[in-house]
Order: sequence, then structure tokens, then C-alpha cells
Amino acid sequence: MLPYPRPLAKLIDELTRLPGIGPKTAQRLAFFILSGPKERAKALSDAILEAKDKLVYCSICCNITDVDPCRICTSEKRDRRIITVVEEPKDVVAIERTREFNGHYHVLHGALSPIDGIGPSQLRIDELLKRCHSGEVQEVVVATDPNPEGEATALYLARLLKPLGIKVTRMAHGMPVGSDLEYVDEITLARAIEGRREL
Amino acid sequence: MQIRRLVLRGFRNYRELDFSVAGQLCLLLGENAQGKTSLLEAIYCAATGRSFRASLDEELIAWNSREADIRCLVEKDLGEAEIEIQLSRGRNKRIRVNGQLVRRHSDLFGHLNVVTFTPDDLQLVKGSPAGRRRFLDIELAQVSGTYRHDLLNYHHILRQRNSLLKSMAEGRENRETREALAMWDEQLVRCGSRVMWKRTEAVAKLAAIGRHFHGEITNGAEELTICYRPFYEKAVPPTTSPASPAEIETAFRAALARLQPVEIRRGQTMVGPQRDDIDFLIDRRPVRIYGSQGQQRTAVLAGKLAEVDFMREETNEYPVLLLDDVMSELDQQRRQFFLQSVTGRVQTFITATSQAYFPEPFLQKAQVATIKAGSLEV
Repeated sequence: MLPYPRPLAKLIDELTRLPGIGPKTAQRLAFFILSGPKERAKALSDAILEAKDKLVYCSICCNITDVDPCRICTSEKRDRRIITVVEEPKDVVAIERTREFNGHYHVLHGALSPIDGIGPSQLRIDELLKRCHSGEVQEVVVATDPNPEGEATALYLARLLKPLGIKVTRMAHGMPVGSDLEYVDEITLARAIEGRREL
Repeated sequence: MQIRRLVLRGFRNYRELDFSVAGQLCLLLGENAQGKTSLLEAIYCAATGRSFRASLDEELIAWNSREADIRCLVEKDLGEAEIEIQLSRGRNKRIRVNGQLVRRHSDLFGHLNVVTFTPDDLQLVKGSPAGRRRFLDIELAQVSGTYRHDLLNYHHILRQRNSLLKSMAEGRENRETREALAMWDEQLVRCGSRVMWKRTEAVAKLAAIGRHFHGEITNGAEELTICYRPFYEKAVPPTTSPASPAEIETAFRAALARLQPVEIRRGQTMVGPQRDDIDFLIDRRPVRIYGSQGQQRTAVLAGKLAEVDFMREETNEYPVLLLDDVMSELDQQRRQFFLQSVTGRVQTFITATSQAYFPEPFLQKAQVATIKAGSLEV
């Protein structure tokens, strides 16, 4: 079999390193890039480099940003007394979409997971503690994922923050809004019953 | 619930099979290695998504085939369910219920409930604790979605905790790892206690039903007790049964506190429901140790019958019973009792090498199918 010319093989190889991309998809993408005009290929490579060059982690909340500190951390309109802690930058975007939260964020970049070798020092926990020591923060909402890793992280944070006199809350489990009760899966429903509230 | 139709393609030694099941009782006759057990295996797979004997899905695919298909039509009190399992080499299996793709494997449970009884089950009483836990887990997982979820989560937490303990045993024990361990301890206790409470309740129900059946088999001469023995209870038989979730949690925490130094040294979790056991007692003595072979078999028989009725109590429907070649292992009196107890109530598939094991009135009620080299004749 005739191998691919070296530059093409290299492109396929680089694309295969991306998450969710196997050799077949990488080949398809590579051929797509090759078949297009040179400007498109340049726009793509420039966009990658620019994102890599210009984006940094916010020195306060550790979210990805192009200005440091980020726009949320410097905003005058946002409530400094409350911080929502999330695992990933994309979680910030998800909560922002609700337009219901007007406090600050903190991005941990992961959750405790001994199997993956992630302990407290691999997460941005010291940064969070520094913010909480300032005295301004009154409540920390822990919005890590509702799985064992997210739960362990939440418990860990609660233990660190409570002695500072900060109220630590956890996002509620509940019913998806707008769905019929009968279609909700039984685990979600069971947790929702557990977390019921008085009317 | 009842299976109405079973269609197989490329499954084990079945190239093509379309089997319409006629009624409550189905007798599958055939020589050895013709495909009797494989048929039960296919039904089991439609119920649970996996095999009861093969550990790899690929083993289920016929050797000259790239994929295997199981389709099973189940009639229930509330409508029908069509379950389809597609296995193929080098790809994850696909499961559909009524045409809808099932995303989480565990969501398949509950559409078709089965109880199996194989010669291996005769080891239930004297075999390893792992076998007895599996007996309890499979039955609870089929009737309770929250149990499935808790058990899955528990094992996930256990893996994380073991990984942390291992790194501590290898020299990374410091303030940080000790603090992180406390978080996994907490989850282990909470989730583990939920699993254990469900097991406590289930065994209590099984024990009551099992005692009844056992009394009938032995004409009241002996009394069977089935006890749940939590991992922290060392006495055989256990002196008491946990009375509340809170009691389990307290005992769990105490055991954890006691054994944690050993755990850190060995790098492994030493507490939790993965070390639970169930004791079968006849007249208050463990059958495992003091029972004769006959007593052990009677205890298993009562336990299995109890499983059937337990599932009926929990779901309001009888499961489908799969009996693999156990008739030859039971003496005539137990065989008779067993057949009497299930026929007419529970849809039952029985494999056997000869119909000589079955009384005439039984044969008249049954659909008798002969299996030869992966094909079936009714």
C-alpha cells in the first residue's frame, strides 16, 4: 500500500489526537481541509493559534479569558458576595445562559478523581480559598457534576470553607422543567422526592 | 409476564430461529451441545443485556458471523414490549425497546424479568459469598432502578477509593490525601448504606417466602431461615438484622474507623457491601457447614422459588423462569414439588436431555420443542 505523503500523514496524525476523532474522521477532515481554498485553511490555523496565544486563565476565577482579570470578575454590576464553583469553563457558559445568576464564578478545571491522579492540588482550590479569605464572600454555591467525583469535590470544598464562616450550598437535584412526570427517569424522580420542599 | 416470540440470528449456533412460544410451559429437549442452554442464554440476554455464562459479548456471536441479533416479544399485564439486542464484533451492542434505542445499559432492566436456575445454582448455599451476593443483586437490580443506580455508583466510588488508598500505600500519604480520603469515605458510607438497607429489606422478604416453600417441601419437618449478614457482622448466624438505614450507617462508620489504618497500609478498601453475605440456616444451624447435600439442595430450591415470588410481589408480575438442566439434579420428590409450584403461574422454560424426568400430566400441558444443531422443531 502506498502511504500518504508525509505532510498529509502528519495532518491526519495531528487531527487524530483531538478528542472524539478517530483515524477515519481524521482522514475525512484532512481531505476536506485540503480540498478547500488556501484562505480557509489559513483561517483555521490562525484561529487555533490566536485562541492559544490570546487566551489565558483569569487570575481570579481561573476561567478562560482574553483579558485578565476576566470581564465577569471586573464587572461592577455583579454581586461579589456569592461565588458559584464549577468544574469546567463550559459550565460557566451554561449558567450564564440562564441569566439568573448575578454573582461570580470559580472554575476548578476538573474534579477529585484518584483514578486519574487528580487530587486537591491539581484543582484550582488554593485560588478559591484566597478569594474566600478576603472576607467579602458570604456564600459559595457548589455546582460540580452530580456524580461521585463531583460529589467528593463538593464535600471537600464544604469542609474547607465552612470553618471560614461561609455558607456553602449545593445545587439541587430535581425535576426537569416542562417535562411530564411520567417520562422522568426513576433515579431523577427518586432524588426529586428526597429533595421535596414544603409549599 | 410472558415471552411470545423469540427471534435469533447469528446467536451462538443459531443461524436463524423464529420461535413462537405457545403458552406457560415450554420444554426444550435435545442432546448435549445442540443449543438448549444457548436459547435460555438468549432470553437472559434480552432481560439483562448480558450472558449468564460468557464474559464477553463476542462469544455470543456465531463463529462465522459478524453480528448477532436477539429479538424478544414480551407480553405483560400492561401491554407488550419488543426487546432487540444487536451484538457485533468490534462495536458496542445496541439495545432497543419498542424500537427506541436504550442509551444506558441499565435502562433495559425491568422490561423482561427472569429468574434462572442452573446446576451452578446448587452451589448457592455452600459456594462463595460472591455467588450469594450476585443472586441478590441480579434479583434486586431487576425490580429496583434505584438499587441499580446505587450499586453502580457504589462500585464506582469503591474504585476511586481503592485507587486513592493504593497511592497512599505506595508512599503518597500526606495531609492532602488523608483529607481527600475522608470525602470518599463519606460517599462510600452513604451510598453503601443505601445498598445494604435495600438488601436487608429484600432478604427479609425472601426469608419469609422461602420459609413457606421450605416448609412445604419438607412437610414442616425442618425450618429454613435466610439471614442477611452485613460485612461488619462476623457472627454466623448474625445475632440481629439491621433495623434501620441509620443503624447500618452507624455500624458502617464504626467499622471504617476501626479498619482505616489497615486499609491505608494494604491500599485496599476492607469494608462495605462488597463483603456482605447471606446465611441459609436449617433449624438455626448454617446449612453450608452442617447441612447434608440434600438439605443444601432443598434450601436452594426454596430460595429460588422465593426469588420468583419476591419479584412478583415487587413488580406485580411473575418473572419468566429459566431452568437449565436442573431436573436431572433433583430427586423425584423435589422435582415434583418444584414443577407443581411453578406450573400454571409462571412462564417456564425448561431444558432437559430426556422427557423421562417429567410426569405425563405435565407433558400434556407443555409445548415440547426438540433442539438439534441450532434448529428447533415443535
